[in-house]
Amino acid sequence: MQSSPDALLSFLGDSELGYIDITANRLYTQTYQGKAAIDNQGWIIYDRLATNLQLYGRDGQSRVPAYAYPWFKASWRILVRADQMGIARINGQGAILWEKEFSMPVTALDASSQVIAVGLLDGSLRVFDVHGAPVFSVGAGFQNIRAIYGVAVSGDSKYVVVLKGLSPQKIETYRHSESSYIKISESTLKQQFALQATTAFAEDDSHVIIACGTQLIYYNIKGNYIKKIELNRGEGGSADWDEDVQFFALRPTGGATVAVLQIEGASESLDSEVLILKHGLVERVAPDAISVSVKQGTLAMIYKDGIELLKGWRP
Amino acid sequence: MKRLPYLAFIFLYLVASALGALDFQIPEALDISGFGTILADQMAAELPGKPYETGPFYGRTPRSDIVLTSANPDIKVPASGTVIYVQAEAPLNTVFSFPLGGALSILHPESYISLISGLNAEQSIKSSKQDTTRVIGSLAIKKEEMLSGGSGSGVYPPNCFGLRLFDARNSLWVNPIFLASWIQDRTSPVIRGARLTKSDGGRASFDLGAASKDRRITCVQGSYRIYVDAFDTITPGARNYSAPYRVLVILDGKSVVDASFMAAGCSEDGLSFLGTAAPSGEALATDGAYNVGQLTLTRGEHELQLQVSDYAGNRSTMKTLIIVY
Repeated sequence: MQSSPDALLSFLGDSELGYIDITANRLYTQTYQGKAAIDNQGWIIYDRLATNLQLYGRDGQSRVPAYAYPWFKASWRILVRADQMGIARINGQGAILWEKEFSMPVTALDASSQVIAVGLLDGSLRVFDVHGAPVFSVGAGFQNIRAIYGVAVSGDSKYVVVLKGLSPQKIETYRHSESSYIKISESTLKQQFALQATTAFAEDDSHVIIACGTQLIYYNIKGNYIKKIELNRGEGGSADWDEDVQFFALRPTGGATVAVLQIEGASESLDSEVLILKHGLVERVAPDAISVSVKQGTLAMIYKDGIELLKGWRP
Repeated sequence: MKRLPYLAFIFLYLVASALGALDFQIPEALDISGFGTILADQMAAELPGKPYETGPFYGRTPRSDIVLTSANPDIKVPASGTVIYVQAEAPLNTVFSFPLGGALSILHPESYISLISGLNAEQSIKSSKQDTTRVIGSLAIKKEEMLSGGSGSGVYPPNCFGLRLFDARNSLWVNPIFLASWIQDRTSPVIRGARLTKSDGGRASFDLGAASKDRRITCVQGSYRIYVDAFDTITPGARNYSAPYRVLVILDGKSVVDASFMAAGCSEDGLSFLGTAAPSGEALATDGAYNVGQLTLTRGEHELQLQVSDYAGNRSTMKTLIIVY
């Protein structure tokens, strides 16, 4: 590829990955088998059993000696150990920069460019900087059931939001203060979910979208209120427990918008669509889309058989 | 390295008695890879007799669960309790899925928490599709309820499941092998090798296995760490192998090292196995040998006996005469 990394928008499809040169309107793709993680520096293809991690980058291809799953976000390249009891940060060549082991399985993970937040089964929250130094931690105890189901870090590292515990299940918000974080609010959910959640923080720090199986939750940071997102789904009305629908929070798509993946059906015949939500309200729907990438005013909808580019994206 | 000798005491007098009160039954399986076994893909031919890669390899640590290979794609719930955490694999590769795949964590009586992994994602979600606003008990799950594994999930091949048990009162991951009453293990562990390495960080290392030829080694006095490369097979003729349960080092008739995989301690730095400090990598050498403890050799002639036993009490021994100058 001759393109400048600044002009490249990486994307991950279900069996294809690659880059879009948003200035030259070029598309670079590669098919893959198994699973993959990609960023602007390259990608890792790995098998489900985590025994064969192949790193592709500017230096060519190499094997990453690890028994782990790679997780890329906001310039972080993380290996999640196969037993979920540890993480390691790797560089562009796959070498380990630092690693952390936890006494409990990792149940939630999110990062901004400056910090990574790790939620654990016992309710512990650990936040580290890019060098692996601890920035903040919340201890735990099993006297009350307080597993962390989801964590979201705002893009500017100002907030960390945690979905935690049962009876009651709460959303806790921590704000950056000096060199650490302080808890500024908590809010109790009326309906509880023991299911691991996916989360996405809006770029303007206004809210977090939490996707938990069949449920979508809007949590407003400043107002400290929770709203269950009701999607109009035809005659059946809003999604309920009986429907075969799953939601996954994908990523912020600028301003007060967040992309959510909706999947319906059994594994043999999945129907998917990507919803762009603005403050929890549907702003745009991309039927059959399976993911989304966004950079510098360009929104790329990823489909199984192609990519749709929206230039001049202004949410 | 800091030793944690009180771990054995805690387990024997607190954990073991409480485990007796816990109605927890490891489901019957064709094969088991036990607690403390080095975390790696057992299907990828890391079989007994084959040495590990000696270079850095992230994730090669003793495992805090056991892996059960079932005869069918289902696994029975080991004990009744309340589901506190459900994890499911995403149906598309565009969403990151965690390595344990579909997983359920269950809170049992006596503050024990189990985690079953390798489950079918849809099954996991089905288990979570209950409105818990009524009472937390609505997520109750009963002993021997069947959970589906489907065609494999996370790092688990089809019909393979991970099972771990946490003692929240004592903050220990417990080796649950004693809760598998159906196992009949009459095979002794195999000692592939053992060595003494100077504790001062020097390179001096003495292969105790080599001593079997002339039955003696000669070394300088001082403190040594002892590394043992051994494995056990829990179910006869099975493909999977396990860590041994206990390693005893007897010097001139006195026990100087007694390390076991009865539990893993928890701390801010992670897990501690075999009495070594966390993280768990401290319990392993780069070649995969277990770091079982430290002993001091003074000038003179010594008889060192290494006893490696499995959870059923089957034992293998290695004797070495050591001349210390």
